[in-house]
Amino acid sequence: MRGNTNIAAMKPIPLFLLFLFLAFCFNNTLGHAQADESKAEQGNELVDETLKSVEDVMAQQEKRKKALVELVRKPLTETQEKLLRELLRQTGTLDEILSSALYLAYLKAEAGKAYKDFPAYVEAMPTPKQKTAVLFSLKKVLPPKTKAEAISIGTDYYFKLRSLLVKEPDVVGDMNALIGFQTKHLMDPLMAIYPITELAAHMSELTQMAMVTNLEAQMSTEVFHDVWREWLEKHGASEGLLRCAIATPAEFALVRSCFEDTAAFEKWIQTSLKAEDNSEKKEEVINR
Amino acid sequence: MKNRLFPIIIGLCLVSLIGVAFLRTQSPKTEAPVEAESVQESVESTDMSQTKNTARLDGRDATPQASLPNIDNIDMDEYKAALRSKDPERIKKALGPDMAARVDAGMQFMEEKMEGLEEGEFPDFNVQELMNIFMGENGPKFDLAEISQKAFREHFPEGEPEDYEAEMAERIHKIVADTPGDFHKVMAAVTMGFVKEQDFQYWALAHFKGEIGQQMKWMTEQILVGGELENIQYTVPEDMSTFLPMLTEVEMQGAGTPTATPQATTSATASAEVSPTRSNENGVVATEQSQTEPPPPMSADRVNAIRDILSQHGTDAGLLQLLETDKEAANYLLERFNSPTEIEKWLSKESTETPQTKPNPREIRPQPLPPEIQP
Repeated sequence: MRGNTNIAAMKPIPLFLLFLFLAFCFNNTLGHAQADESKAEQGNELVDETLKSVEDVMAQQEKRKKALVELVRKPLTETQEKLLRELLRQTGTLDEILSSALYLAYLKAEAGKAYKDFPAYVEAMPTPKQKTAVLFSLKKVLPPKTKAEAISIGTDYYFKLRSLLVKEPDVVGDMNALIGFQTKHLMDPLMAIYPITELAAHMSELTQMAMVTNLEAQMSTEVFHDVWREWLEKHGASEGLLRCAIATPAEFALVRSCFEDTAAFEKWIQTSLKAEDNSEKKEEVINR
Repeated sequence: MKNRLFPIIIGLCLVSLIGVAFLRTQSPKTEAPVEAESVQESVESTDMSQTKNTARLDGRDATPQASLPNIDNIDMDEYKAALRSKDPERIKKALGPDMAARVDAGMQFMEEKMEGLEEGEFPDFNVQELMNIFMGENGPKFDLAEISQKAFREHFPEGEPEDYEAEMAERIHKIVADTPGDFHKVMAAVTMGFVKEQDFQYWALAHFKGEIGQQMKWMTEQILVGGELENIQYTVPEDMSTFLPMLTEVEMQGAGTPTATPQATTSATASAEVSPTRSNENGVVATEQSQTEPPPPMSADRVNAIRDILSQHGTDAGLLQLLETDKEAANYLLERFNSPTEIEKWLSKESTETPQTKPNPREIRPQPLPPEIQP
């Protein structure tokens, strides 16, 4: 029987490791409280830097989430409401409605580029504009010395993780799979760009990169999902989906690109990503 | 306890695990209970409704995971202050009794492994054993063997780890040949070589199965063999307490005097991996440039060439292209601008003057990421 693995349950591990890391670096372990500060000074700085990066990310995460929620929940403007009313009058599938001249004109104004139809826009995901938006966002939260190449790797990883979180939500419960995914798409490429002698100095940066990209990918997925789900519940599937497509066209297309068809996409929106109490399941877990 | 290899090992474990471990972590100050999907026994279907089969893991249920310490109950401010105080007892107190007990168990494990060792001797320490202690009997599974075996097979489709031992030994000999200095410096270069070269690392994990002591012993032997091949007689120091500072020292020396760390650029394995992506347009391998050095000034011609590419392809596509083809130019842009809009403003200027370098262009600011990623 497979062991129970859960990311939430893994949360104490970094704290344990931080403790051990710190303890060993300072040669200040329990029962071995001998100080050799001069020799440990550089290790000391390494710990401080790594710890600070964790603190920074954690401190900013909630602020960023609030800001993002606020932004996504912003009501439609008058122009957007008018577009919504006009689109609601049209018939056809969602892709057909979003391929109408009205929406494509709106998309062109929003995206700065014309697309022949909505599926073409979905096909283009993630667009260069989305990539550079994430690139600069990562740049702002990573240490100043982080090179463009590393931020670019983080950006690619962010979009790959977004896709994974949407396509395989259960992956968050599979520690080995996640480590493998992160190693393959983030750590391996990052390791490849740094000379071996620089790796120790970049430990804080690597830690921060992993934390920021993972947290942001998950946060974005959840925030947009939750708001869209509310809209679909409140306005019904047809109007709800159109509202999503109008309010957040890029994110809408990005997540839509993870699915074969609109039906699967709609089902994903309507399915809660949050854990829910399920006594039967709970018993099953207990019995494992 | 003088063997300072442990900070490196633990530190690297931290780097590998921390990103994943925080994936489902909310801010410690969040008021909402942390929830996460439970692991499915097996993925029988890709039906999205499976996500409903979840259990609350905020410490209020009776699932096996709930027996784990819950960090949401930890006062993170106190924990951080305790860490900074470097007082183990205060740190344990901040962690709470459950986690403190596990720390004690981990420390006891380590102490037992260190008992009877001569100075500088590597303990027979297994990463899996340590992780098992942290996880507890009912805790989540951290299967080092599975991870390392999968990774090994991904990098080595054929053969078994022992089939590659000679090849790996040769890599160490090459690093030894390319690394001047005493045993400390060579060991630092070899250790970081393991970290950097993933196939090397996965081979070691699969071969030594997490037995760090055996791995370090083998590395030491190979360094000595490599030294003999180069007619260098290394003395293995009794005290490895300067090992950690040495790792960072090597990096700092590399920044100041590039010739001091030739292993970074002359190692066949390292250079083969690095060169294709790190050469700038002048053919200078960038491995010897420190990350803390200011970017070199750009000639007006170079700046104009960058502007041309951005104008031709558009700011976004142009920047992405530069990231692929001209990393120096991409760094130049990211050093100076904080958004594509700023680049567009710069492009719209008639002048070909290079923009002023901002004193602190990457100041950390709380900003949504991404705000609403517009196309």
